[in-house]
Amino acid sequence: MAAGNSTRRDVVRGLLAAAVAAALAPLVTASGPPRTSRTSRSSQPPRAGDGSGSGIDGGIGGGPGGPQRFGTEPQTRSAAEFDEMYRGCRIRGFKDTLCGERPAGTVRPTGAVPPAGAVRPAGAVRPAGAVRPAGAARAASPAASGGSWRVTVDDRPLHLMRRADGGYLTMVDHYQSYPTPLAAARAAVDELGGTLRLRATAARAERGEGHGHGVRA
Amino acid sequence: MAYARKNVSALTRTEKRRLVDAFLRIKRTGEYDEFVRIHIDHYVADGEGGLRAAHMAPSFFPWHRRFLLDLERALRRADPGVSVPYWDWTKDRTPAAPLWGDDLLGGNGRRSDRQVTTGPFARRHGKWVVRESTTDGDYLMRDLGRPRDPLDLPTADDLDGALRDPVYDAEPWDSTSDRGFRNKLEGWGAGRGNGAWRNHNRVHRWVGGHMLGGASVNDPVFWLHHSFVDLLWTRWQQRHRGARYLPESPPELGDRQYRRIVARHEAMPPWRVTPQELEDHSRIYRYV
Ligand SMILES: [Cu+2]
Repeated sequence: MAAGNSTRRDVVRGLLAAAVAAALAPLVTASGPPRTSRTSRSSQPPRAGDGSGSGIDGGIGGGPGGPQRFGTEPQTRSAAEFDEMYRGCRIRGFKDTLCGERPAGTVRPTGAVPPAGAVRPAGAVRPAGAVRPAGAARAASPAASGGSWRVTVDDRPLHLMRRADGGYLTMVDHYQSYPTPLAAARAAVDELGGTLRLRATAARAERGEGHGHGVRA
Repeated sequence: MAYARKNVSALTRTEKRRLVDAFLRIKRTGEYDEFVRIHIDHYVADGEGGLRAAHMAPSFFPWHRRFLLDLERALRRADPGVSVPYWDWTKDRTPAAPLWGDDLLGGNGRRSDRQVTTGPFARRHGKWVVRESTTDGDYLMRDLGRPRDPLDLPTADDLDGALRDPVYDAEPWDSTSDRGFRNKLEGWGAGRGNGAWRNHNRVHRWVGGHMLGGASVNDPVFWLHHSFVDLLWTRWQQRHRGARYLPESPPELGDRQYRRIVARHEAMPPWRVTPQELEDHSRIYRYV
């Protein structure tokens, strides 16, 4: 079988290295008022046929991802927020909109995109997915352009994602969307069922919707 | 020579044992948790920017086909005689169905914390410790049928509503597409409540626990569910001869989906493979 262990490990090693770097990114903005900086990058699907390993049973190694676009979005602070007890859990959320443009480089450590040589043998190609960790560096979306919500349940970050219909999804409840961040947070608490807590991990999750999923142990 | 993927209810006792052993083996080596991470990392929602390959996108089917093939390869390295069976949830509709038996996936989670306590994947055996999750429990969780607000698995009629659509996918190529086989089967409905859950998505909800969240791959039933979803793509092709994956060419600059979805001849991350190359699996495996 063409997909060797080493190839897969390289992919994952790439993901992990990128994730570690992504986890460092919030440190840049960790102090002071909650100013979230968004870094955008979209990976373009590479055209097929520009390398080996394609096909239904081909290796999983892919070519370099498409051009990476970095960008920022306008940032201003607004007052939208909630803070309530729901089924014994404290749910808090606020819309974090920030002022000013920041060059991507100031919010993203240079190590955020792992140098190819550092994570894989020389000559190996980097699959497009490997350079795009868990949404840690996703393009700013139209839906999120009004700012991003940061929601916590008992002080632990609840990652929110936007759906095209304007709804909100959480990592706990991934196959349905809710009309508001509060509704999504309550549904997540329902799902936690009084016995579980969100994982405390991942600083990356604290950066709100559109960023990392924050589920790594 | 293509190998067979079987209905899970048709597996012999020996086939079940070998499948379970293969799962436990790749869990022990750490390979399994890499699959959990890859699935998490490729969940991009359609209200966010960036390329969506796995969900809320036309490549939902080919992405999961390739994902399953990789898992199946890992299993077959552990035991060349196994393959991923499929769970026909239109027929095996209750927690009493054979797949939830102690000799295969184990049963429902217990009431207090939804922890699966029966079968080979129960935490107490120490062989299935959840490491990649959104919550702090390290045990597998299920909430079959969600008793506090019950819902049923999709029916054969629900499925037929999707299979009947002669078009693979349609604009806007996301979770709001109201035409096309892909979204009808992936199952993003409009509105709230149980009606919003359809087909594939509804099955994730019905199993509940880990299957409901981003870390759904932690439950081995994920693969049996997606094996059936994969079979349904093939059934749809057989029903609509000549119908192909869409879109054929990428959305252009100015289109809201520009660079956000994978067209027929584009490579899907994290692989190099294109949807076109995944449209026919008959060389590799067949469903029996
Ligand atoms: Cu699924």
